[in-house]
Amino acid sequence: MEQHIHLVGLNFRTAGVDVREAFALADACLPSIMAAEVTDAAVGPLGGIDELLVLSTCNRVELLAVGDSDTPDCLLSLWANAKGRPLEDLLPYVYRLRGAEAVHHLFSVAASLDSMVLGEPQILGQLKDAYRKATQAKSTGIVLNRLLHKAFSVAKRVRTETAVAASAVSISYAAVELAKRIFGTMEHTSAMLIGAGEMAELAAMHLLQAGVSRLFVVNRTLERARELATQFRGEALPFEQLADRLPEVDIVISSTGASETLIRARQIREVLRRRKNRPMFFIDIAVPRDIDPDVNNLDNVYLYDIDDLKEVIEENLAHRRDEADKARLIVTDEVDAFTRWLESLALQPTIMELLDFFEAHGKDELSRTLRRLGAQGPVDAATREALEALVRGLTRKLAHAPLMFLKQAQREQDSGGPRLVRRLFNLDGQRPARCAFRNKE
Amino acid sequence: MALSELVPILVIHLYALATAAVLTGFLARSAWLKGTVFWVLACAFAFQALLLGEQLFSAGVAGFSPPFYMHLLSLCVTGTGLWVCRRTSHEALGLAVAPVSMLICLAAFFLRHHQTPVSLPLAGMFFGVHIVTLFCSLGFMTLGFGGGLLFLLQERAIKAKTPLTRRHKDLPDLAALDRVNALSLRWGFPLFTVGILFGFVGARLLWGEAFSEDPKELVSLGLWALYASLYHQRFARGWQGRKPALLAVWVFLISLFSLFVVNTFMITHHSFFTATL
Repeated sequence: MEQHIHLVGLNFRTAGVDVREAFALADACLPSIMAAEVTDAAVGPLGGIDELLVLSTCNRVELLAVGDSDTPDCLLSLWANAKGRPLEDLLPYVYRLRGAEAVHHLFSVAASLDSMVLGEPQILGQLKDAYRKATQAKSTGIVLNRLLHKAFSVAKRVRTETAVAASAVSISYAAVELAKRIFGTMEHTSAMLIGAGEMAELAAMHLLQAGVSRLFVVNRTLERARELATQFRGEALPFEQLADRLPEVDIVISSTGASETLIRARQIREVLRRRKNRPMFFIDIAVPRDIDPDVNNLDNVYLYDIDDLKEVIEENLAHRRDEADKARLIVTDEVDAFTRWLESLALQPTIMELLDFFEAHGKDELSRTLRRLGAQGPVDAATREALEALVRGLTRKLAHAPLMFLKQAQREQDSGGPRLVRRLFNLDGQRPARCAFRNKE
Repeated sequence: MALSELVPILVIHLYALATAAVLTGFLARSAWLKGTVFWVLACAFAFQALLLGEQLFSAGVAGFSPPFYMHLLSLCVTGTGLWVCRRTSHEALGLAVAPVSMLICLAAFFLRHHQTPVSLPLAGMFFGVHIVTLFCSLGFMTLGFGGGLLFLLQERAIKAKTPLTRRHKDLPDLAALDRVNALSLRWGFPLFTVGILFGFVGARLLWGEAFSEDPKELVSLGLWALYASLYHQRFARGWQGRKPALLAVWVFLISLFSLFVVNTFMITHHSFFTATL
């Protein structure tokens, strides 16, 4: 069955944060999905996935695979099973892409043209991380390897040739701008980062640029918290001190991978009392969310999650949208190039099938000739050998021209070449009927 | 037209100009227009001060009529507004000060023919301090109202995650508005307390009893209790943000009720308008 590139997924446009957090594929889920493509037993009768990569971020969950026409359904079933949810809960939010559309989508994602914040740099790192995990799980092959490497180079080209990522617009930058609307000057404010990933690092940078005077970093792994705190001249705190030190901070940015809620409304009531009602600002950019949404109902407390921030930054993206048009032209060019390469990959099977075609017809005619000659008397070995040599030579000479044509097409990455040859020799159809001219004879 | 007739009209026009400038400045996001508001208000203040000085010089205490007091009130509101605007550099406060002063001056204009002076005993020193301190505290209440209202508008937008427009960003941030409220309260409440005390002492001296269950006195005491509660909650208990902003709005509205409704439609020691209308 013919293989294609398939992509199924959901993102911030098709699903709200509650659905995205329900179907996020944390690292713990990945082995069961990755194993499915290498273990036919797990895939079962829906099998046919040759290569697989899983991308799961706060704004999207996407599964990229090379497989047959049943692959998208298989991926969705695996996904729903991995999350212990019925497939019907997932289906209303997913999109399915195939072939050039899937490639276009992937390149757009890598170039951050499909991001909530146009031009944001985090997605490329997240895609590279997903690729690293896929290669470690040995779930990629020739197509996805080439596709992902091409995606990375497309992202780099877009960043260098356009200004789509030029201005400082990001989730954490938007968060700092909001903080200024609440606190005014940031010089006497203190901030806490919960989680020490890439988003936390970016947030720390923007906070310090804005003038925050004290920075705390809290992480389950204290060593990682210390690394980040040292880098930004802050103070690392063990996770157990989170609740005790909250009264000292004005701004909290949370971006952990925790599946449970870390901060609840009742905790913050007590914190506010200890702070004498000085305002607090919480930014929750984690999916699943780290902070109880009811926190926003408290007086003098402001909570923004990742969906709220996208509204805030909309105004700053106008310039980037203009640049995005140029970036999309680059993506379209690269998609065409990759598609041509993909089609040229189908050349080898075409060459093999062409040779089989000539060989099969040669053998067919040889058998018929030997039977006719046999009817007149036994065929000696020398005659048989001469006839076989004739058929081999004729087959080679007849196949030579189309083979040269195909190889030229491969060099020029001309996808039309294999298609023409396949039509000319009916390689995709039934075995050709006997020639009417021969029948008349 | 005599100068004493021309100047009030000029002052009204200046306040109207300031109101238009501050509104247009914020709607059109014009820094130049917003910058003119302070100077237009300062001009209005200067002309108003000259007008009152001229009346005091020419008529003495006989000139202490309701329009005079209303101009004095407007002068105190504008004066406190200019002082706070200078300290905080927030032109947005003009959104409260300019229209309130303009409305008071318009009321004075419509009552300009009611020149029956306030009775002489009420023109003494105690009542002078009573009136000036209360009028200045009303000025601070106006600023508290303006700051509180802007705080509530901004805070609602941030809480509701409404996309903040550029006009939102042109307004002071929440912390700045909260500081304006705190400043207004820190000055306004003590002045109000002094004004009330001098009022009661003056009443004792003039009518033989400090407290006579006069409706005006009752409303004033109720307002003082509310203001005191706000002062205590703010500075002793650490209230910040939404609650004090909301209370500051209520304090101003109740003080307007006391000044214009109670004084006009009820029989009290402060029925100056009823006596002259």
